[in-house]
Amino acid sequence: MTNTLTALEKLRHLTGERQITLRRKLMLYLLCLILAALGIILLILTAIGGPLRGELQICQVMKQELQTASEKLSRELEIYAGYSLQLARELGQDIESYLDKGGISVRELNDRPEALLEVQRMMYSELNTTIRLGRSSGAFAVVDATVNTGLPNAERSRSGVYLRLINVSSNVILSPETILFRGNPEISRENGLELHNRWNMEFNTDELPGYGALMDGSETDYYWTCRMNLKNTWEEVILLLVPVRSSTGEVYGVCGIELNGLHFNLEYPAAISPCGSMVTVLAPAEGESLRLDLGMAGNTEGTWLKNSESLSIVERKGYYNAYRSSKGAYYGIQKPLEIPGYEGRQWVVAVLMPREGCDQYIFRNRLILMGSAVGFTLTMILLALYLSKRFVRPILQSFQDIREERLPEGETRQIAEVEELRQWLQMRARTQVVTELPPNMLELLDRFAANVKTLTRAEYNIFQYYMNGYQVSQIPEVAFISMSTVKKHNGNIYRKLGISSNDELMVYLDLFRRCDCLERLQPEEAEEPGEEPAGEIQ
Amino acid sequence: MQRTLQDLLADCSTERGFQFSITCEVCGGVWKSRTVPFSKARVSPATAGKKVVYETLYRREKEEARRQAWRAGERRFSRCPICQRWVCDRCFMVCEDLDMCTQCAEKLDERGSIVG
Repeated sequence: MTNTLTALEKLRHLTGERQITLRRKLMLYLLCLILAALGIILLILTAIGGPLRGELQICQVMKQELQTASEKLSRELEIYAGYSLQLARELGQDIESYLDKGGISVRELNDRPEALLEVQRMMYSELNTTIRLGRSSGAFAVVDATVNTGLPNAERSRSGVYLRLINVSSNVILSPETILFRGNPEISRENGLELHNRWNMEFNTDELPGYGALMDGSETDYYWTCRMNLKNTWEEVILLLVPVRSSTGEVYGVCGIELNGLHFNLEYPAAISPCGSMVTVLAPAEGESLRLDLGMAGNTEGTWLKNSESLSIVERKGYYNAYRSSKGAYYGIQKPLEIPGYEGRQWVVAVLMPREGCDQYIFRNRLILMGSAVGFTLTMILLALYLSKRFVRPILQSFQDIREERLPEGETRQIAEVEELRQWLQMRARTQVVTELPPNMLELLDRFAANVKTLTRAEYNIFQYYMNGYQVSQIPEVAFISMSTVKKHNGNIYRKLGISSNDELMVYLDLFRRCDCLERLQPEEAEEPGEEPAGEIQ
Repeated sequence: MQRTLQDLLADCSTERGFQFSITCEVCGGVWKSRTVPFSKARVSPATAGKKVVYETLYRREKEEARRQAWRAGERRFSRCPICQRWVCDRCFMVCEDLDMCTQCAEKLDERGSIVG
């Protein structure tokens, strides 16, 4: 571990010593500026409501909730429809068999209490089975006959049985307790049922929307009614009405299943999300309106949504719709539901959220995003400032050092370009022609040149090596003499030339070289001998 | 043919290190180079292959030590331009016109001062 740390420290040290080019530094600086610019762009986009993460998140949550709710609801309504059709078929067969046995028609059941009781017994049996299997909160069956045609409004009174669960929330119990809402009290006595506190002997056909159309054959298929109040109760239901037919197609009456408001409320609780409660709604759609007053709403806890109002789509946003009612505004999405509606109504399932909560969430989200962007931008700007300072400081420092000649020749600058400049300045200083030498300098050079003449031949031999650019350490090798010999000669040379070091000697030689007058340092030429007559040499 | 200083290098190396000597051709004084230890002096080769490797290594390091000794000797010996002998500083004289060994100086009646 220690070794690794030491190695890393060395690496850092080496990296620190390495020269960094101005271009690389500038690149880093520009990179910070670009990032700062990106931050500003992000900030502007956030401020003007560009790609809003909040809205997208809300949409995703809604879509997920809608998918779940719509699948669950479709499955539930399909089950209800299936059991209702089964009920209608069974009842049709039972009533047809009974009528055939008595040799009477369904109209002839009017004013025959015993026969109607017998029919109701059959109905009870089938309805009881349907409630237990279909898990609905209530089921009913009506035959197109009344027990007493002489009574006022008898044409709207029809015999039948309406069984309901005592406790709607307990429909998951295997044998739920039922109560008789409509029907002959004899049925309740025979089966040990209680009578509903708003019990009636017979159905009023006004309670069954479209009953007349079903009986006269203009409405041929089953359908779901809009939401309605069960007469004299606080309960609200949507009924599935299915015609009960004989094998020949004669309509005996209607039967069906109820979708209870309380049941819907319990089955579809408000989903809690970061932006508020989400309410599931099943309602018929009319153009741009969602008729919540005709449909059902799940648990509305945490919202001001009332199921007595109609919602209108006021704006179709990119991700979801904006709804408005007389009491509030909501965001939501909807999806058509493939169920037959009364009078051809199109039903939709929708998920709604209070607009206020969503807007707050979006605003909060935007605020966080803007805060982050501001923070990021500020950081980048500060970093850019810091880097620019760091970028400029060493350059200025280097210039200052060069001006003051602070840096020894062996050392190098961290910035490659500055180092190059320094070296160039040094080189220029060396090669600069000495044209403005001070007067005493010329005198010194003259004296030096005169002193060179005093060197012996052996000393001049060594001096010549220096003139040719050799260093002290190179002379033993090229002259085949020991270093001590070189040093001995050096001592004599320095003394005769009036200098104290090899550096000083080099400065003099450099000056002569620049002045292009190295020939002045040539030794005194020996006088040429005069011509002598031939034969005189001994 | 002139003898170089390399020709005078005498090998005094052992298995443990490398050393070379140069003898002054005038006074017979011997200069010995610094001993350079062999990097595998304390390691005995485990295999025949290693032995070959170590031998090659020995030759290489010895050659390098020889070069170092030669360079060091060059700084200590001078070649007399008259008799071409390599002599130590005690036997070499700095004269007026030409440096030479003490014996040549005596023979040629040249005056000067001894280097060493």
